[in-house]
Amino acid sequence: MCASPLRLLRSGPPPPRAALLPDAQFFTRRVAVAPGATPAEAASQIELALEALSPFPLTQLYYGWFWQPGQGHALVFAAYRRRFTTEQTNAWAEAEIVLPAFAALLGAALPPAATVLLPGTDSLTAVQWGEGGEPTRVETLALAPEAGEEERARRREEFVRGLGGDQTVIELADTPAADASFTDHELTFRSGDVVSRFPASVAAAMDVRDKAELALRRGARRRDILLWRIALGAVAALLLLGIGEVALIGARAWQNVRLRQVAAQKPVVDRIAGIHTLTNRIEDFATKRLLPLEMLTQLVGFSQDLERKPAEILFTRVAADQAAGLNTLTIEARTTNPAQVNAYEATLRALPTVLSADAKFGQVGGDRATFTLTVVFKPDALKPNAAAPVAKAP
Amino acid sequence: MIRRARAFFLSRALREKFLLLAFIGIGLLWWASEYSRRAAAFWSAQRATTVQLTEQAQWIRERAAIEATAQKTAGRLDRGRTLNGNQLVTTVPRLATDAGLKNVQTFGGLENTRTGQFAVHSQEFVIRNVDWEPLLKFYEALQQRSPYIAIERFVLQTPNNAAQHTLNVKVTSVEIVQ
Repeated sequence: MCASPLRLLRSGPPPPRAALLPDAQFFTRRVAVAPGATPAEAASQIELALEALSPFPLTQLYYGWFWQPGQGHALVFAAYRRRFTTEQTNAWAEAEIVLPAFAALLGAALPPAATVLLPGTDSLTAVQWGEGGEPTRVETLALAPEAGEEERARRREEFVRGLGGDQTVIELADTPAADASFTDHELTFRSGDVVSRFPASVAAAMDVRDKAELALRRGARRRDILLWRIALGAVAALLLLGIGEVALIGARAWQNVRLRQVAAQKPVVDRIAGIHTLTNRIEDFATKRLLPLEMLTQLVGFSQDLERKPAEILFTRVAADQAAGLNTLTIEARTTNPAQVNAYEATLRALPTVLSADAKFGQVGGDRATFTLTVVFKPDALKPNAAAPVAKAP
Repeated sequence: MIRRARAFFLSRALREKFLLLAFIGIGLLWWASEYSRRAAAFWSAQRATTVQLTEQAQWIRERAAIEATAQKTAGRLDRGRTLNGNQLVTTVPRLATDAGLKNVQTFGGLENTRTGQFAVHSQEFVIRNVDWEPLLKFYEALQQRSPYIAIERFVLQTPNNAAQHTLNVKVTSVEIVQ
């Protein structure tokens, strides 16, 4: 298996394993099938007819039939099971189809009234095609092993004459062999120029093995086909992944080109961005200045009394930071009258220059409390030195 | 070739079929997982690069306008009034002293940013025991030097003794280098 897997794959599929049984072991009959019968109905009609024809019950027979949908007759062939040894039947286990040798020719498209002569080891089988282009009659001539060539030729002549004159006789040199060009839907046999094709459903009915065993085999086959399809899908996915890997390699090469472009442009871009940032910053120095004391003035009022701020509130820390917001002033304060804080917060919110004012208490104990007041002013509401600075420390 | 492979597969024993499927499945899962991880990383990297390239292209496209704006801004400034880092470190304490403040100390190092014809310098100062009147004078002196000097951060702390304050102020100066 591992010696040359490529050669194994290139060599093409092997032909299906078909076990062709000696024709002389089988008797054949043509039985009627009701017009328009489905394959299942045809099977029961044929089995019923065979049961009536045969001296043995069906369970003691190896039998099969050739019938194609639409045909009014089926060609049935059967053999008494005991004619086959256990060794012979054990060998069938590996076969994909088991049928008498002549049955392999029944799918051939031959002209009406043609007769095919099929030589066997100790027999000669004739298969006749009727006017409708379907096989209608199978006759087998047993030949004694000790018979000489002349005797065999004479008996052959008598046999052909006995079949009826005025026929096209095709004499095959070899028994039919299964063709490698089979699919799940069709099975093909060849012998010389004669090609016999069977749809899978017809071929299944021709298999003479035990029908229950065949049903099991068909189930196993369906499972195997499913497993094969899963395996095929997985292999296809692996191939796709392989293509994906190649695509990824190509894409990485493209990405590397782009990264080199980014690296080459970076110094130029950094310089432009730096100029832009710095220019904006310098512009902001002139137009957007941090005005901490102007903001503070708004909070406490303009007079010496710091009229807006309740006297009980004392600011301990006043902070303004451009990073926190140009219009934001954060104040930490303490009070001896916590109730004043809310009132003060409301006063600040009411100022036309104030966007928001929020006071959050820190420690509260008795009548003392610390709190943080964050006031955000409206943009451009304050002008540098627009008002007198805070008259005294708040 | 596929038909040969199919015939080979179907002719195997059931356990061999399952074994083959298991090997293929494990390989597929491992590879797919690895591939999806690498593909996701690549996709993320290429998107980031696309964004970078787009941004860079935008900067380069706007280069002329940015340089023109910078030129215009530089034209509005009096080069003689701009301050380099050393001048900033000496000028601010002088303004404080002139306003009547003592104990002016620098805090931390001088920060310099230079691009093209501009440089910006920042220095933090700490002034302790500040009275209110000198503080106001100092503040006004700083604001009068705008836009050559700007206040970046202003923190005024008032301990229990409300008459004396501590001022932390971070001041920034602009310099035209070329």
